[in-house]
Amino acid sequence: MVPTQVSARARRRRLSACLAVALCATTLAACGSSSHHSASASAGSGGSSAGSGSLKGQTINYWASVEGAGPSDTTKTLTKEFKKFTAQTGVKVNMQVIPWSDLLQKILTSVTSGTGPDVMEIGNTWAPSLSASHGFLPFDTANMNAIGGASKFAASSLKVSGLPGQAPVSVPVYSEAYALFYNKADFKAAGISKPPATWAQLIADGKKLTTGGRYGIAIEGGSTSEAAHWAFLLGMQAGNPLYANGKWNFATAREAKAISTYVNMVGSEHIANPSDAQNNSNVAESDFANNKAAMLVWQNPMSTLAQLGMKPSEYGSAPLPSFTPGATGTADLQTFPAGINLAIPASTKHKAAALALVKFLTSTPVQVAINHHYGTFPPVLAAQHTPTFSTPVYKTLEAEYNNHAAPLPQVASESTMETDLGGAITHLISQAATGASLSTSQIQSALSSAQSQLNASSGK
Amino acid sequence: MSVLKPSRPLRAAEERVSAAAAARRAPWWQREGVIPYLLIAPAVLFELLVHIVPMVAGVVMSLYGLTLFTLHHWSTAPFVGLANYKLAVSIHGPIGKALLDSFEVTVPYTVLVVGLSWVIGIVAATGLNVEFRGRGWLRSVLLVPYALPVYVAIIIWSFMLQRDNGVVNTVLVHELHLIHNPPFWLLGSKAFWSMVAAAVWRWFPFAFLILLAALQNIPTELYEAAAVDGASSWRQFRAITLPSLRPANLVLILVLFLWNFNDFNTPFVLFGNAPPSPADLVSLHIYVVSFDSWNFGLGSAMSVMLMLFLIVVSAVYLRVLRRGGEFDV
Repeated sequence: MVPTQVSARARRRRLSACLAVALCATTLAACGSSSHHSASASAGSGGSSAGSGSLKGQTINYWASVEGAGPSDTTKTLTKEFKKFTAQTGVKVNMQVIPWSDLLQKILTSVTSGTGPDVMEIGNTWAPSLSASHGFLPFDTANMNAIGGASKFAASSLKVSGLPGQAPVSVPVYSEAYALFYNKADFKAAGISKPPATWAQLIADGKKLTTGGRYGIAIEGGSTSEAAHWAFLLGMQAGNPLYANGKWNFATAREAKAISTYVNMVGSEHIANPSDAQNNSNVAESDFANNKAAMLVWQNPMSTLAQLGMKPSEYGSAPLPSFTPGATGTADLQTFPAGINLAIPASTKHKAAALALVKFLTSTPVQVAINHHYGTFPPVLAAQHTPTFSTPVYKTLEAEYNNHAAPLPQVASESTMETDLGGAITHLISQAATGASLSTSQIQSALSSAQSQLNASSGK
Repeated sequence: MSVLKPSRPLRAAEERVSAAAAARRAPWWQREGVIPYLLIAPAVLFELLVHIVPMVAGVVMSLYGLTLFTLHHWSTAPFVGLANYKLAVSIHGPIGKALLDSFEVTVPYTVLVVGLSWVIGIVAATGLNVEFRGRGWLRSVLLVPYALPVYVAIIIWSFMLQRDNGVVNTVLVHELHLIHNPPFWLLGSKAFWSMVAAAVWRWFPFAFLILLAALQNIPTELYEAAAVDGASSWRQFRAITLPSLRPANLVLILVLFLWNFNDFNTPFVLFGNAPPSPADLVSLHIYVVSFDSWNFGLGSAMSVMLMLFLIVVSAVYLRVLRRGGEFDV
């Protein structure tokens, strides 16, 4: 150490300077953590079609959710379509792709501030909550006619577009449905001739398939929304709707027993990898594609499975199992109408251009192109009837969507339910994964806690 | 014939009159009493915009029922007075109890992270305050966790702590064979310790940086005199180093406490918006209440309570330490 003779004041000054530098570094580091994927996808100027003179020259902003193989795939896919739209109308579209983790927060900020895009994609289960905020343009008769009329959509898809009894605040653009997917070779090797029709059969088959480092089924055990969806589907099949008689209704023994089917896949049944309790970013799809699991319950995984190298011939699809063989009605519920909707914020200053873009994106050729690329299926009936969507997998999903679907509770606190109930179930799964044996009453107690919290936060 | 010179007081009075006349002639923005305020005005304005206005807005928001239903027409949100605060502090209700649980996780988390960061920081700073070959390189390496963007720093831990393919379990289970069954580091009670480890790894370089700067300002003559008097290294550390570091420690510990009690990034990056109960820190808890439950009035009330708590703790800390001795930083 070099001897120095420094005055106390100079020492303090130097120390202060060090602190200032360190604080600045902290601020810069924090700023550096922002990781939004923003993509400008201006479609450029194109020609304009007759009748669109009033729109020509306008520029509108579009928020896209991440679809397909990720943000860049989304940008590429939509930019291609927006160029056609610009050529037809003269309206430019600036696109921003928002990660799912940030989308809802950005939407809320946009609603509050009255600034934001002219058209945005939303998860359709948010539609009731967003409708209650009064921040979106209602698709009343005039607006619905401006985009081609309600009759062009499948009836199921419009059930999740707002609050019941009110004009929709969104219209569907990509539709999805839950189904069971299974690895054909694994089933054959285990001597299983057909996919399970009941949950008991699924568990029995899962035990046969759990061997040699491979598990019977892959689940997204750390995802609160997945957990809430399972709770809805299993509860409905067991005769326990999550919401009944104007109040939340999932703190029941029946619901707890139904949910135990899902929780115990990583727990007492041991047919799912305990590590699935951590899955929260589509790891289950990857495990299924890489044959780390033989079954998967998912919404339209075809596009992702293809990107992960799994050929369509390698897997089969089947309706979601039920609790009893040959069940009918809600006991045979197989999905809810899942998917992505388009919404127009009430604050838009380009209403006509925004409606024109929604009309364009829900037109038959665009519906076929985008949904085929993403592996979703079109909510527009004319597009559903094209040969592109006539494969067995699409037929399975469409049949479930059109004939065996019921919407998630159409109430404003639906999104909060997904957080509270889904959070309770993911915690139960993590307990099961770490070796805890969970009784039905323990599960019911956790559900009861979540329901109390939900009621308190929604002012009930 | 002698010239009659004005007296000194008279000259001073003349100068004052002349200066006043000059000031009257100068535009108002060039006047002596105005210029300092004009110079600091931009800083004050931005401080108000960036810090004070949002803080006041948060306090006001906490008094309103700003929920999903009033989000778009937020100016029409009903005034609810202290109802949000009552909800947040009623520990027998589900919301108050959840907030209390979160608080009880945050306190030990903060104490551990601040304590361990300080201990590692002082050990590293002391070790790297003596000259040896490669000292500069080693100092730089130790600063890497702090130089990384926070998201990157924490996501590295998330990858390392994965059960099936994380490097921690790979080493413990497959390389060293110390454990047979790979444990979950991000679930259950271990999630708390994982979060502490990640935060300490990120914050100890800050403590190291500050303490190293402070150590370099201690005159070496003190150590030489102590050595002549026969003081051991430990005695020198206790009698010279620690007292000399006091001003730096006061600020360092306060800043680390405030940052860690408010820590949002570490639990959010490790666990998302549904952390396990043992890792449910207050900031993330408030975020979930606000954005997942869409109850911004309640979330604001909780934020105001957190701010008041931190102000009170900081004030008490500074007052107690100021009373205990010199505090001149």
